Amino acid sequence: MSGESTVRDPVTNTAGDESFSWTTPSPWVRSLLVRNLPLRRLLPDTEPSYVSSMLYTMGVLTLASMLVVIISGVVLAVGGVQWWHTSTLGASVNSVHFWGVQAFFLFMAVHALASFFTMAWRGGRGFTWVTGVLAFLLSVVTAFTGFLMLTNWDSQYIAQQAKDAFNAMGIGAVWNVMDVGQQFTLHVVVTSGLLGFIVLIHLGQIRRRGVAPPPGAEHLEVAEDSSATPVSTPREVPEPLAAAVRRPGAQPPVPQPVPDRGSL
Amino acid sequence: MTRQRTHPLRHWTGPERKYDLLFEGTAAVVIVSVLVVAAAIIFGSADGGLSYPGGPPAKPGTAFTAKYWATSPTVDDKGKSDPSGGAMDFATTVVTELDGSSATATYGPPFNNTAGVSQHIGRVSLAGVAHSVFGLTQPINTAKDFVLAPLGAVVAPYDPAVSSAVRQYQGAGGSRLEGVAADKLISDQQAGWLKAYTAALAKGTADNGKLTVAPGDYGPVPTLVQAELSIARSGALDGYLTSSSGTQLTTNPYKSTMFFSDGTLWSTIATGQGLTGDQYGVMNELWNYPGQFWLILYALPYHIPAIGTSAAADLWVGTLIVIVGMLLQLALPWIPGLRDIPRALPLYKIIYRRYYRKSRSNT
Repeated sequence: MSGESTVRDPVTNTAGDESFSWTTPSPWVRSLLVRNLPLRRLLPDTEPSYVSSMLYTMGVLTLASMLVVIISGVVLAVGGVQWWHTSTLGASVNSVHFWGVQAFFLFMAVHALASFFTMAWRGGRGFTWVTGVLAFLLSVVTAFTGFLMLTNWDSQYIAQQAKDAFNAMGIGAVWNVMDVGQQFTLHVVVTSGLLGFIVLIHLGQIRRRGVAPPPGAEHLEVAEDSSATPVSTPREVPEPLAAAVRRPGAQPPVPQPVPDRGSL
Repeated sequence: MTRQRTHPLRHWTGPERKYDLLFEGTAAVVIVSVLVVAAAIIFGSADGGLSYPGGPPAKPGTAFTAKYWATSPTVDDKGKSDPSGGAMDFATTVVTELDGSSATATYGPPFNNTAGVSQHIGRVSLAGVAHSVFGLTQPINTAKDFVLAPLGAVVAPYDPAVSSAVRQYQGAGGSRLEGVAADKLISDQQAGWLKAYTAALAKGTADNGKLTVAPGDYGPVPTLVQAELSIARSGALDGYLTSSSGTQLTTNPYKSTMFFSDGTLWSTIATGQGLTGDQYGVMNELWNYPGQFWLILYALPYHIPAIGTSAAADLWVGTLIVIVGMLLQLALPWIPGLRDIPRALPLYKIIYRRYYRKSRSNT
């Protein structure tokens, strides 16, 4: 726990350095969030100038598509699995859902390619890449289960064909792609929920670490607070709160060149 | 005790520009919404049905049913229509469900215990492992589930001849256990009836749903197949197949899907619509609409001759997807060579061209 000399933020009541406790974990969680996701990172006023490229809008366009897909999907779910076959409104909402998914994958594909060719994993951003790939894989599964609950010939044939791969991999024993009810719950609850969770982590990673600088400019990215250096007990940490809430540019930190290690 | 924070917050000390995330997010949602709604209005979306080139007209959004199957005309390779083609295909398939030669009866786990048919690489069969752990999770006895049980439930109570035929057939042996192996499905006597009837049916007719074959020793088989065809044509068989065990509604029509897919008409429609594997069907599922184009990684390996012609094609493709499509992608930042491709193919110089140009001019 922090000592008496530690300065606490009156809003979050944390010094940013609380230790974990099984019985009172809340201070540690507050500390973790304040330290890693300060509001100045979540809602920044500036961004590096190199981010001014259309390619960097692909991520937010993917997210916007996802929002359209979720909203139209909720309406379709409320209408019922077969609503879109019998209602003009349902068919229209289905069309929005369908094109939202197409846009989602298109933007995501460009986002993934841009991330690959800019080596977006550099500078300790490997986990951001991992969560992005996981989001892509979960998106594929979510779209797939959506196609399996169309309740028409298309879904019948897709399911009948897909079962062979699932059975060959041993998955088919528990994941019966011909079971429309199972696909509905997987699509609406399980895979969508997991995807939303992974996307949240992905976004958190991006807000925390920022976008990787252009190759050759890594040295312009410097550690922001004193915790970059080894610290002992929290009592010995000098002004952790001040570091946690310091506005970028208000008190420029001592530049600490980050060596270009080529990858991470 | 000391701790080292591996990845502290870092701050970009180079040139910046003004930015507001909420504004950007709102603008993105508006732009995407407009684009998507416009696409929805202009193009609509597919509601795939059963129509196919040369086939009979069918409403959009329909599913394959026993009634459609048993009443549908078919078209041969020369474009000649056969009004009783669907009925004959249905009757022929019913016989294969009884004698255990259908694709479903010989599939193996998770549908039945037919041995030695699961896909394997070397001695590794993941389907076999799943079978050992979970057992038969979707058991099917093709003779009972597709023919004898529906006839017993739908026709036999009202038709003494069919009731008698069902009793005679069941009295002749064969297993009615769920998931029984194909070779346990029929007795020698039943095999004799079915073999003779199969040959006769190949030369028979099915005018207006009435099967006619040359006289022979077929036992009760002609009565069973005719009754099955009749309830299929009336729609009663669909009512049976889409209900469950008689106590719940079903949301799991796996048995009917497997039954339907054993017929020839099923694949005829798929081929006509360009949905089969060799037509990249997995990405072409919605007629002229884009399908799941993101599944190209899954579709491509089937077109590698060594894989596509393998008896374990699905297992090979699944394994490749796990290794290449999942593990390699996830671990890419840590794999020397792969992670260096962008340095060998430096597209980032184009992406960051304005930044680099400005940096050079400043220095």
